[in-house]
Formats: sequence, C-alpha cells, structure tokens
Amino acid sequence: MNPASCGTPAANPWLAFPVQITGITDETPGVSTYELQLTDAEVARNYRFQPGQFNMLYLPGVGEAAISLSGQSESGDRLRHTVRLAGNVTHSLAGLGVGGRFGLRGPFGTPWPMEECRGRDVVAVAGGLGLAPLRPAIDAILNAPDEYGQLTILYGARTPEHLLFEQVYPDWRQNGAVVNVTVDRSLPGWQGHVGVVPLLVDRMQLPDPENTVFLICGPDVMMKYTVSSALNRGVPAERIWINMERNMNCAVGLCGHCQYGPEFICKDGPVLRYDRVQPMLRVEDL
Amino acid sequence: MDRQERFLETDRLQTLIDVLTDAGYQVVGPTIEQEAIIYDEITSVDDLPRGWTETQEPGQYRLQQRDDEAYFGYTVGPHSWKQFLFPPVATVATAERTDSGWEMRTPDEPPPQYAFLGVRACEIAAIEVQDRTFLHGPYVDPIYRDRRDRALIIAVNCTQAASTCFCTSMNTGPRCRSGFDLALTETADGFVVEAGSDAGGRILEQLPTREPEATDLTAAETARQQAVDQITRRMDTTDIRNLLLDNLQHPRWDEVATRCLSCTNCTMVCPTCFCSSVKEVSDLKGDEITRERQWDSCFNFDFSYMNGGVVRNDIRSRYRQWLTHKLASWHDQFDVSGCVGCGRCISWCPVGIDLTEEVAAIRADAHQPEEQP
Amino acid sequence: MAQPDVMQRLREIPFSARLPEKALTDLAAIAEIRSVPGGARLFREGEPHCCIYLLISGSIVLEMHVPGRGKVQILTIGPGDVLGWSPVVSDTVMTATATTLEDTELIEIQAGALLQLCESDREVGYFLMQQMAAALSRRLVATRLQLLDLFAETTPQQPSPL
Ligand SMILES: Cc1cc2nc3c(=O)[nH]c(=O)nc-3n(C[C@H](O)[C@H](O)[C@H](O)COP(=O)(O)OP(=O)(O)OC[C@H]3O[C@@H](n4cnc5c(N)ncnc54)[C@H](O)[C@@H]3O)c2cc1C
Ligand code: SF4
Ligand code: SF4
Repeated sequence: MNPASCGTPAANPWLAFPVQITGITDETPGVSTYELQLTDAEVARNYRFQPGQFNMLYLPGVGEAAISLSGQSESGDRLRHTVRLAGNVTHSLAGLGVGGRFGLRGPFGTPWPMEECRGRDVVAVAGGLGLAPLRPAIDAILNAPDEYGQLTILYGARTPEHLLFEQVYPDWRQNGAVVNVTVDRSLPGWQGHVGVVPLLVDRMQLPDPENTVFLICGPDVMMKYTVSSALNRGVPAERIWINMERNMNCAVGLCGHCQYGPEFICKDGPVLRYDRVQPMLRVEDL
Repeated sequence: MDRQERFLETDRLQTLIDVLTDAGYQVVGPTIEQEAIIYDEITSVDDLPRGWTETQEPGQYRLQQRDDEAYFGYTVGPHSWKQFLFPPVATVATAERTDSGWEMRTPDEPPPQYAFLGVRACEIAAIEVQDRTFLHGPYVDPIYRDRRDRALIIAVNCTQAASTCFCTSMNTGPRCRSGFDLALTETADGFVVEAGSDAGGRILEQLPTREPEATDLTAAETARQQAVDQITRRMDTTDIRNLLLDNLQHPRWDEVATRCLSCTNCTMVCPTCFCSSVKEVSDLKGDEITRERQWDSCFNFDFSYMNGGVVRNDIRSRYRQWLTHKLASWHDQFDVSGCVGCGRCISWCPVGIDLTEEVAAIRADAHQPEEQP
Repeated sequence: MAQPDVMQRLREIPFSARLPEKALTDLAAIAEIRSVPGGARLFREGEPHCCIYLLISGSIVLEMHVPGRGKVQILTIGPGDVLGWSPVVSDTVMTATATTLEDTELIEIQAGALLQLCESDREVGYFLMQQMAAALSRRLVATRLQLLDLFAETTPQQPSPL
C-alpha cells in the first residue's frame, strides 16, 4: 500500500500528531469509543483514512497501541476509535477523560476492498470487537446504497451484554441492511439468536454466492470457520477478505513484529484476501 | 565494466585514513577487542588487527596470530555494519509535556558521516538487503536513510575464508563486484585499489598511489582466488523457498528445538535481521519522553504476544520463524534472500547450530507437495 | 399419501437435496409439512418424542434446564437445520426443550417409520444416516466453538503502577 494513497501526511513515519479527546461513549463492559480531534489544523485538513485502516495511539511515557478507526463524526474532523481495555496503553487511555491529550500516528494498513464491493452483495461478518473495524465499511455502503448490492451484517458476541453498537442496528435495518445477531451465551430475557456466527452463514440467504463479497473480522478461529462456511456456500476464495490482528510495534513494516508468514500484517494487512493467507491458516503458531 | 586500478604501498595506508578524516568522515574499521575483531571508530593503522586472523567453527571463534603482517587477513566477526546504519539503540521520536498537551518531534540533528573501512562482499550484499527493508518499501526509515545516504563504503576483497563462510552458495562473494566506493585487494606489498563511484574516485585521486605492475595484479588475483578455494561450506538453494514453506511440519523442526536455546545470538550477529522494538524512556517527572528503538529478535518469548497470548509459543515455532524468514519469506517480502552466507550465526551459536545443515536435513527428507493438476 | 409439495420442499433443503429419487419418494411418504405459530413447544427435555424435524423457515430455540439457573437457551435453530434427532440415534428421551420463536414451517418425519425405512432399504438408510452424521458433526463443531468462548477477553489487568 502506497502511504500517499492512504493519506499519511507524515514524511517521517515515526512522527505522532497531537490529538485531544472530544467525546467518550461507553459501549459494552470494558469497551468505549473515543472521539479524537487532531489539534493541528493543517494535519487535520490533510488526514484521510479508508475503512479498515488503523492508527497507532501514542500515550507518551506509556507506549502505543494499534486501534482501528471505527468511524468519524458527521463533520469528518473527529476520528472514532473503539477500544477494549487490554493492557498498558488502553488502561492509561481510559484514565484520561474528555479533554485528554496524547498522540496518534496513521492511518496505516490495507483498507477493506470497497471497489470490489461495488455492484455486489456484501456480507460483513463480525465477532466481538471485530464489528469496530467493519463499521466504516458498513457506513460507506449504507451511505451510497445505489452503488452496492444487498448488505448483510452477521454479528456474534459473547453475551447479549457484549453486543457492540446495539443502538444503531435499527438504523442499519432502516437503511436496507439485513442485520442478524447471535450470542454464544444467552442471558435471561434474551429473545434473539443463540449459537456461533458461522451458523448464520450456513443459514443466510445467498442468492448469488459467486458475486458476493465477504468481509470478516474477529478472532482467528472464528474467521477460520466463517471462511469455511462461506466457501461451502459457493463463495470464491478471492471474494473473501479477513482482518488479522498481530503484535504491532512500528506499523510501517520496519520492526518485524507482526509478520505472518510472508505478510507484514501492518502494511500488507490487516485486511488480507483469504486466498493469499489460506495456506498459512492451517499451520499453528506461525 | 573495466575499472581503473591503482596501487597503494602497504606503508602508505595511513594516508587513506587521513584523507577520509580530512574529508569529514568518521572512519570505522576493524580492531581487536575482547578477543574478537570488531568494528569501531579508528584513527590510525595501528588500530587495525595487523598480523591477526581467526579460526571459526560451529559454535567457535578464536583469534590467531598470522605468520605475516597483513592488515585485512581475517574474515567476518561478531559485528557487522548494521551496528552503524541501524544502531542497536536509536531515538525515533521525543515527546515533551507543554501547557497545552504534548510537543511531539522526530530527531533532526544530522547523524555522523561514516566511512566504513574493510567491508566484505557478503557485507555489501547484506547492506543492500537492508536497503530493501528500510529504503525501498512503502515507508522509509529516516534513521537508516540519513546514515546510509552519507556513508562511504571502502571494501576489501577476501583473500581467505573461514570454515563457516558460504557466500559462493548465496552468490554474494567473495569478490566485491559493485556497491562500493573503493575496493582494496591486499597483497604482500600493498593494495590494488579500484574506485566504484565518483565519491570513491575523488578519494582515490588524493592517495599517493602508483600504476600497478603486472605482478601486483597477478598477486591480487592469486590472493582472491585463495579465498574462493578455501570455501568448503555449501548450501543448496534450489527452490529453497518452496522447500521450506512446504515443510513447515517437518520433524527436523522438533529436533532442532531440542538444541536451540532461543538465546537470540543468531539474530543479533546477522547483518540482515532488522527486528526492533520501541521503548518509552522517560525522565523522573514523566515530562520528557524519548522513544528508543532497540534491536529485538523473533527468538524473544514476548516478541509476538498479543491480546490473549503469545503467538509463537515454543522454540520450535520460533526457530522455524527465523529460518523460514531468512531463506523463504524474505523472497516474498523483498525479492531477495535474507541470508548472504556470512556464517556469523553458525560461529556465534553457543550450541553450534548450522543453518546449512538444517536446510540439508530438511531437504534430505522433504515432503513433496502434491502435483498441481 | 405424501402431500404434493413435500417432495419439492425436501429437494430444497440441504439435508435431503442430494438424496437419490427413490430415497426422496420413500422419505416423502413418511413426512409431513407443518406450520407452527410462534411460542409453540415442539418437545420437552426429559420426555420421549415421536419425530425428527427439518426446518423450512422460522426459528426454534433449544433450552436446557440447569438447576439453580433455570432454563438456559443453548442454541437457535434456523432454516435448513435438523432438529430432534434423539429418537433416531437412540431410544432415549429428548435432551432439550424446543420452542418456536416465530411462525415456523417444518417437515416432520416419524422417527419409527424412518428407522424402519433405513432397516428395510439399507441403501436409503446409508444416505440418510450419512446426512445425519454430517449434520451432527457440523453441530459438534459449532458447539466446540461456543465452548471456546472466543470473545472472552483475557482478564483485564491493571498495569503496574511502576
Ligand atoms: C491492526 C490492529 C487493529 C486493532 N484494532 C483494535 C481496536 O479497534 N480496538 C481495540 O481495542 N484493540 C484493537 N487492536 C488490539 C490492540 O492493539 C491490542 O489489544 C493492544 O495490545 C492494546 O495495547 P495495550 O498497551 O493496552 O495492551 P498491552 O499492554 O499491549 O497488552 C495486551 C495484552 O498482552 C498482554 N501482555 C502485555 N505485555 C506482555 C508481554 N510482555 N508478554 C506477554 N503478554 C503481554 C497483556 O496482559 C494483555 O492481555 C488492534 C490490533 C491490531 C494489530
Ligand atoms: S529472522 Fe527473526 S529477528 Fe531476523 S528479521 Fe526475521 S523475524 Fe526479525
Ligand atoms: S543467516 Fe547467518 S549466514 Fe546468513 S546472513 Fe545471517 S548470520 Fe550470515
């Protein structure tokens, strides 16, 4: 991926841009969405990202974490990141509050193949927090309904409490998307679906599998079985795209941490076409 | 290309160092420290390991006195020029707390201008391999670029080889063919010198050289041939990428895992390994932060950790990462092998693991993928 | 006598789509299409039951009773799925309670007649049991994935204050 085409304004990939937290929304237990404003006007004007790309959020003195963009404000100048408490950086971020200032490098990584989706049915399959990196792709499709075919969103979470962005599903449905949600473990009062996500792929309406694009994001094992269900339904391997997470340090293919076989997840991924990584998904601990 | 060759007498070698110093270069070359020939700043020919050589075997490196007074009569040691172009510790960025948040910068003071004296053919190849990583990808590493752009390479053709060398298998040596500014071949009387660039030519003009005699040229040729003749180690690289990637479940990985200590030595001495981690270094108040990049290694346990655990959890998968990265996936990533055949990882492995032997063992008993219809 | 569109429906469902014509006719003879409103109980955990079902449309929830926790929903069954195989694979009681979540259309097959069919025509029996095994194995994988609890976070650790 050419950095220029991702809109990375920095000539020096190590340079972080200052940002300020302008809003925090609590989503599910341990997960919040942070709205960030780039405080340098020049940087803000030039900043562009594509659905699926991520930023390195930099908390001086603490470190960096790779976090996908989960959207932007209506005006476009505020970047949303949906973050789960994991370790040092994410805990420190949670301690900052609205008005908090830190740094950001990005955007990095390959985007979802929006061109490929054009004119085709699209199935977005997400597990857990995997819905966050898919959200900008979902928004892009729903904002230009004439350019894409039917959008189906299949989403699995651990329990009904862990459903991310639950408040927007009605809007998505209103805008023409089919939204099917399932949980691994039910809770009292849950009227919805129970079972793992790949089952939703087995059962979904798939009128033209050869011309349907699958965008998948979630834990490795979930993606593996989702891919297998999609292949079973006649979706070609080269229409299936997955989003892989690996340890990431530099985000620009220079530090070696995120290698997955021949791929550097940070610059060749995180979004990868399934047929490119398929031989490796079989080998453990690669 | 036929380059013009000149001859520099042995006792005029100091003029090379002086000319380089006058031209503003910091001269880095071989010198003896802690019972090994390493690379460090030098100011005089007296710093050079004159009259010294070494013997190398798997898991072994030993200095030895020569029976002549050669300056460059050794092969490669624990250091490589990677130390200077991609420093083991470097500041990539800084952050300073201000009234309105953080002031974030990247370093802008110019790095030293190095002249590397004594660069071998496999080392030129290694630098070119690292150029692909740090300069020719979608992102350029500014630290490497600034050092590399300003560096002058004064190569020395090998006149002998260690038992661990296998550059002929990797097509990287022992003769320096390109990628240098100046190249020397040492003979009993002095050095046959050729320039490989305009910058090298300008240095050459300032040296007290003479036209080489036919005997000088023959002596240089004989010396270079001696290195070729001494190379005994081989690695069969035929279709090596697919050989390794088709054999990720080969029993040899389990076997080598019982010997490998996961000590990271091989990745530290390897002139092409480029893995690193950035650490935050902060002053006591936490107001001044430097982001320090340090060499890292795929043999470190936590190198691949992520939420939910470490990806490469055992020595088997870490050794497999190292070897398949060097010899297989490097081709996919950079269109070149990640191994230049310098043999460092063989000598500096505490238990003497030899990658050429590992590859041979896998090849001897390889799983053949099914024929594609 | 088979209802006219049972054959058609059996052809559309993955479970029976690839059965040879003979097996399909025999199966259709012991099958019946049923429409069930939402909220109806098909069978109950711990009781014996007569039939096995193939889902055409709608959805059904499977629940198990756990002492101290009451009814726990364990799986939602959707179109194309096989449901209630206990009477075919063993003669024990049902292992869960099945309730429709919405208006649901399904094919009901008499378990006893199905077993007889398999006994009397081993070839048809082989095809049917093969499909049953495939459905069971898919369910088993799905259950394993559920067990893995893939979306569980590693327990968030507070970073060390030092
Ligand atoms: C492309 C990409 C996109 C991502 N997008 C998102 C996103 O949108 N939202 C999100 O929340 N996350 C996302 N992640 C994941 C996120 O980057 C990681 O969870 C990151 O580690 C969080 O940083 P941290 O400093 O808070 O946690 P860390 O301190 O890095 O800790 C993360 C986990 O590793 C463990 N750990 C820490 N140090 C070690 C060690 N030395 N050895 C072994 N284990 C250790 C911790 O206990 C914890 O479980 C993404 C990752 C990638 C690669
Ligand atoms: S072998 Fe290991 S340390 Fe060396 S470049 Fe490859 S991943 Fe990095
Ligand atoms: S892998 Fe070993 S022999 Fe090859 S370049 Fe690296 S250190 Fe030298």
